[in-house]
Amino acid sequence: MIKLDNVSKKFMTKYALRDVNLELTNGKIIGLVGENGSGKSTTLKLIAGLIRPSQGMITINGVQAHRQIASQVSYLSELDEYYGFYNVGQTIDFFATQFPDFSRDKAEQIRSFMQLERNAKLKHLSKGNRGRLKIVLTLSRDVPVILMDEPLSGLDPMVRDSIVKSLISFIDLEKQVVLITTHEVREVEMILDEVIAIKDGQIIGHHNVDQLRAEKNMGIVEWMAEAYE
Amino acid sequence: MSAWWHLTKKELRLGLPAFLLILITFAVILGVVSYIGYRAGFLWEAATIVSVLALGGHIFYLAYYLLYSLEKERKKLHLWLHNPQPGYALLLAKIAAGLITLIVSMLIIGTLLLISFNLAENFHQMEWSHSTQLAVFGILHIMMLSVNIAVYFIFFWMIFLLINRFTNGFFSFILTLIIFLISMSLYGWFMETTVYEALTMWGEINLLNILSGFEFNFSSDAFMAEFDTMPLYLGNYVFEASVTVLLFLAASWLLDRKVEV
Amino acid sequence: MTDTFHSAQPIYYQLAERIHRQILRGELKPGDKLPSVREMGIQSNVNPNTVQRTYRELEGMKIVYTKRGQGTFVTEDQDILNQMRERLKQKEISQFVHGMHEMGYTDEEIESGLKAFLRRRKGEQSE
Repeated sequence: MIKLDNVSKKFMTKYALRDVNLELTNGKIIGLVGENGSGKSTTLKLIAGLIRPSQGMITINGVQAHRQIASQVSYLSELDEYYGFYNVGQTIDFFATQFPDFSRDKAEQIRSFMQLERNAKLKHLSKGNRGRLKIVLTLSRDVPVILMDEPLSGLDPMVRDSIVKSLISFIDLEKQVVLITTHEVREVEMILDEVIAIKDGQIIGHHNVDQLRAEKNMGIVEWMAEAYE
Repeated sequence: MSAWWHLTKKELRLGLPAFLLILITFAVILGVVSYIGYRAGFLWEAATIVSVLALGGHIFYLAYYLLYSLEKERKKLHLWLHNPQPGYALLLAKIAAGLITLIVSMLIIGTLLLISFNLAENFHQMEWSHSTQLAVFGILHIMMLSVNIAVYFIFFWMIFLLINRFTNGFFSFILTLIIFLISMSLYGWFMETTVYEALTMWGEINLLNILSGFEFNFSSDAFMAEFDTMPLYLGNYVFEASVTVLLFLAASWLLDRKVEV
Repeated sequence: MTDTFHSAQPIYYQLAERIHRQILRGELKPGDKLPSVREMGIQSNVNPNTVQRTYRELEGMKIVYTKRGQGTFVTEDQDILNQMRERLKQKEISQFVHGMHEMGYTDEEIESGLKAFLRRRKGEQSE
């Protein structure tokens, strides 16, 4: 379980997040939606322990988030920077050595599902294939928390579809919680259990998606349009 | 341990260009100077001097290597820092990779030095007793200084990363430089104090005993006088080593707790 | 490719409807095994949790049953299937009639219109 308790994050004088309280329970795919600069990435980095809150506390299964929480968290960055001297296979192998919970079998499965060549040079990968590689690296870990920052951003529909399918296929919802940020809600709305909307660093709504549909007869996009007014 | 070793292998691969650049630069300078020396009839003497200077320059090697490696990493900090290993392990992997290449680099240049020295007839007229001890003494000190300088560098690099969160690269560099200069002048002031003397001036080592018989035919008196006024203390080594360890721990702490992606 | 769902209706509900229709059309026969939760998720691009919920709802309606360790199967109980068939018919008709009423047609107009439509269709098909 991920818990944010009164969390604020300030850069110089500007608040990126303000008094955020969240409780995310296991076994769910949760979407964090909002405009660019609303605080989505900041939230993910805070949970990943890559930045620290100015105020408040973040815990993952009771443990306070810090840099080495990487052992409990698989984080996919919105940047696609990897070590250019490795090829796909070497990158996977390197990750396998760094994370004890990394499953090479699973990585192989996802890699072949994504139709990535093991000996393809990273420098020569298309943006779509780099996006796919990130998915391989992130989902191959047997880890309680998966954080994905804009996994679909800037990718063509074919790639998006393969990524959404791989989420359904390779996430273990018995044990894992997945938090995805996106500003392309339509691509993922069918696979979300919950949706959280964030605006100017503040949470403006947190709902079970099917409940939202049943009670308000609204999809996420309509709800967001309403929430953002 | 295995994870750390694999990380170190990655660091070796990441730092490879830095290592090669030094060897290439050395080869180019050696070529140019040797050619000039050859024209003047002192080919091997020239090569010897270039090699000695290059070896001496290795006191900055590790800092340079880490500059390259850490600067590469700065563009993908999330990749480097999203790792379950503690900060000191991440930094030690880089230092270990740097040390391995430092040794290889010194071996290559040292071998060239030995060859050219043996062929440099002009140097044979001088008496070189205890040259092995001198070499060991020199090499050890180059490596120790290299680590020492590298750790100072890492520490200030962490300061740079902290500042870099708030302002652009250039301004962060300037600020870090100012902080560096201020701390160095404070350190210089501290070295004048009696506290520093008490901390460092114990366990005098008589270099002349170690290098007894180490004599140059020319100006040997002046050289000896130089050694006399600059006595070596065990305390100095212990003190510098402690400062190095403390700075390293501080840098690791900063990396774990303060540096942000 | 799977057709998509409406975003404004619960997905589990729409998926259940879809399975109903597959049973009616005979694509799923009594006693057939449904895809596993994950397979179904992949086939229809929805979250396995949602599929789980759909199967649970269908089970509650006794349209499917779960054999421990083997999977989920379409019921072989013809009564239940007939009930389902009837229920869906009623639902579809009520939606149609509701729509027609909203547009201002009377019951008589609906009835005669429907009869004429069906007669015409029959004629076309027999030609």
